[in-house]
Amino acid sequence: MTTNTATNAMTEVKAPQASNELRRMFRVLFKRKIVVASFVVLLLALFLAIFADWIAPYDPNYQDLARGLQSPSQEHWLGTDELGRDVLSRIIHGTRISLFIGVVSVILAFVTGSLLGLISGYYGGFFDALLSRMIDALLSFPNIVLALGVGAALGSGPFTIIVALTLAFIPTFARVMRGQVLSIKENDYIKAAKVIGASQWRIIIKHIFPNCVSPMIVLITLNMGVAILAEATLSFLGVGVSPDIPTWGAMVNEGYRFLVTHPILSFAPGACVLIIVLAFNIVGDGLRDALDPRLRGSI
Amino acid sequence: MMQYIIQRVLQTVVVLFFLTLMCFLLVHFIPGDPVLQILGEEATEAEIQKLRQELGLDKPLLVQYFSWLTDVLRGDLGTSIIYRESVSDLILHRLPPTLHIGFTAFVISVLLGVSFGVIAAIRRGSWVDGFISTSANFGMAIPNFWLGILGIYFIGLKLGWLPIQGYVSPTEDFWQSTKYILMPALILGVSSMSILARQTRSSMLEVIRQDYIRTARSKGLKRNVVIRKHALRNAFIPVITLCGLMLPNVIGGSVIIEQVFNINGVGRLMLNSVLNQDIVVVQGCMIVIGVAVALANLLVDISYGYFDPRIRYK
Repeated sequence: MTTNTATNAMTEVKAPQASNELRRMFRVLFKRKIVVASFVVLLLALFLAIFADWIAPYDPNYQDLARGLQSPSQEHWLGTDELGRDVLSRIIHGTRISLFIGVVSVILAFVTGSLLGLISGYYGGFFDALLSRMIDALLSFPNIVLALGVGAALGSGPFTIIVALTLAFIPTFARVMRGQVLSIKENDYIKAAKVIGASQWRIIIKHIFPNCVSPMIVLITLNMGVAILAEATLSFLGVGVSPDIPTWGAMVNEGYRFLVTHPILSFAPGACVLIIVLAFNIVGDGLRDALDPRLRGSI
Repeated sequence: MMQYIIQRVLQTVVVLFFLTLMCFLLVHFIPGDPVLQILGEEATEAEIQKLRQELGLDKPLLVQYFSWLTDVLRGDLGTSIIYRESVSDLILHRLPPTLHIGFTAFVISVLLGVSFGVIAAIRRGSWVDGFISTSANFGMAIPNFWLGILGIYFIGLKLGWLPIQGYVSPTEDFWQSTKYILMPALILGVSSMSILARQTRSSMLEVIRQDYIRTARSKGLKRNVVIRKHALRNAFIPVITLCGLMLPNVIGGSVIIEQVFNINGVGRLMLNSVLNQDIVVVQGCMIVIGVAVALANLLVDISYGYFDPRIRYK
C-alpha cells in the first residue's frame, strides 16, 4: 500500500518533468531555422509519398512515344523521358519507394541491432565476444558491396534491398546500443534494481533501454538518409527495384544516356536524393544537439 | 604494447573467420538450387553436375567450407562462370586502376578534409567556418554517382578541362593518367573529405577547450604555437582512426565511380558479375575487399594504441 502510494506520487512528479524535458528538446531542436526547413522538407516528402497518386499530374508509367524527350514546358514541368513519361510524376512517385525502403530497412535494423546490442552489452561473456567479432566482420564490407553480394544471391527487388540495407545497418545499431548498455549498467540505480530483486528482463526493458533511446533516435534519423542514398545508388547501378517502379537512382541512370541534350533528366532526380538526404542529416544533427546536453548549441 | 598487438591480431583472425564464412555462405543463400539459378533451367544434367562439383556443392557443408577456405588461403578464389577464367587473375588484372584511383582519392580526402577541418575550428563562427561546415554537410549527402554526372557535364563536356571516360595507366603516360583520374578521384574522395573535415573540426574544438590549452595560452605562448604544438597533435588521434575507417567508403565508392567513368576496375568487375549472376566472382571480390578492410582496421587499432597510451595500457 505504502509502496503503491509512493510509486503514484513519483509518477505524478515525473510526468510534468518528462513533458518539460520534451518541450525543451523541441525548443532546442527547432531553434535553428535550417532544422525547421529540413523538417518541413521531410514532412512534404512524406505527404508526396502518401498522396502521390493524387498529386502527380500524370500516370508515372504512361508512355507517349510521340512526345518523348520533351523539354520542360507548362504541360510537363520537368519535361518527358525517352518513352514520353512525365518526369515530374515519376519523381513524385519515386519519393514513395525511397522513403519506404529507407524507413523499413532502418526500423528493422534498429529492432534487430538494438536487441542484439542490449543482450550482448548486458550479459557480456562469450556471446558478447562472438557478436562483437561478427559485427566487425559485417562492418568490413562497405554498404554497397554488402548490398551487391546480397543482390547477387537473392536477385534484385525491394525485398533484396531491404534485406541488404538492414544487414548493413544492424552492426551500427548493435555497437552503439552495446556501448550505451555497458556504461548504463554500471550506474547505482541498476545495482539498486538488482538488489530489490528486479528480474533481468525488467532491468533491461524498464531501466536500461529507455536510457539508450536518445542516441538511437539520432542514429535512426541519420541512417534513414544513408539508406535512401544507398537505395538510390543501387537503383542507379541497376540492381535496385523493378524497372516498372519509378526510383530516383534509376531515373538518373536512364537520363545519363541523354546527358548532352537533356541534362535535366539526370539532374532533377539526383537533386531530390541530395535534398532529402541533406534534410535527414540536418534533422539528425539537430536531434543530437537537442538530446545531448554536452553538444547542445555547439554546431 | 606487444600484448595489445597480439590481442588485436587474434581478434582479427576471428573476424576473418566470420568474414570468410559469410562469403562462403553467399552461394547457399541463393533460393532453390544455386546451380540451377546460375545455369538456368535449360542446363543439361552434365553441366549441372560439373558446376556442382566445381562449387563443391556435392560435399557436406563443413567439408565444403574448409576445402574452399584452403583454396582461398592458397590464392585460388575459384573460376568465373561467365569469363571461364580464374577469379584471382580477373581481380589482379583489374586491381591497378582501382588502387590508383582509391589511393589518390584517399590522399586528396585526408589532405583537404583535415586542412578544412582545422581551418573551420580555428575560425569558428566566421563565414569561413560556416562555408566549410555547410559544404561538408552537402558533401556527405550528395550521391557519388550524381556528382560524377555533374562533373562530366560541367567540367568535362561544357568546360572541356578533363577527360570524361576511361583510364590511362601512369606507366604509359603519367600526365595523361593524372588527367584521367583527377575527376573520379576527387569525386570519390568528396564524402570521406566531408566526414574528415567535420571530425577534425569537432575534435579540434574539443581539444581547444581543454585546460592545458588554456594554460599554454596563459603562459603567453602565441596562438599559432599552441595550435600547432598542443592542439593539433591531440586532435589528430580520432582523425587517424577515421582515416583508416575511410577505406570502406573509398572501396564502396569505387564500384559507383568506375561505373560512371567507365573504368575497368574491381568495382566494375563486381557490379557486372552481380548483373550476370556470376556468384563466384562476387564472392571473390567480397573476400578481397573484406580482408583488405579488416586488415586496415587492424593497422588503425595498432596505430591508435601507439598514438594514445591510454588505449595500450587499458
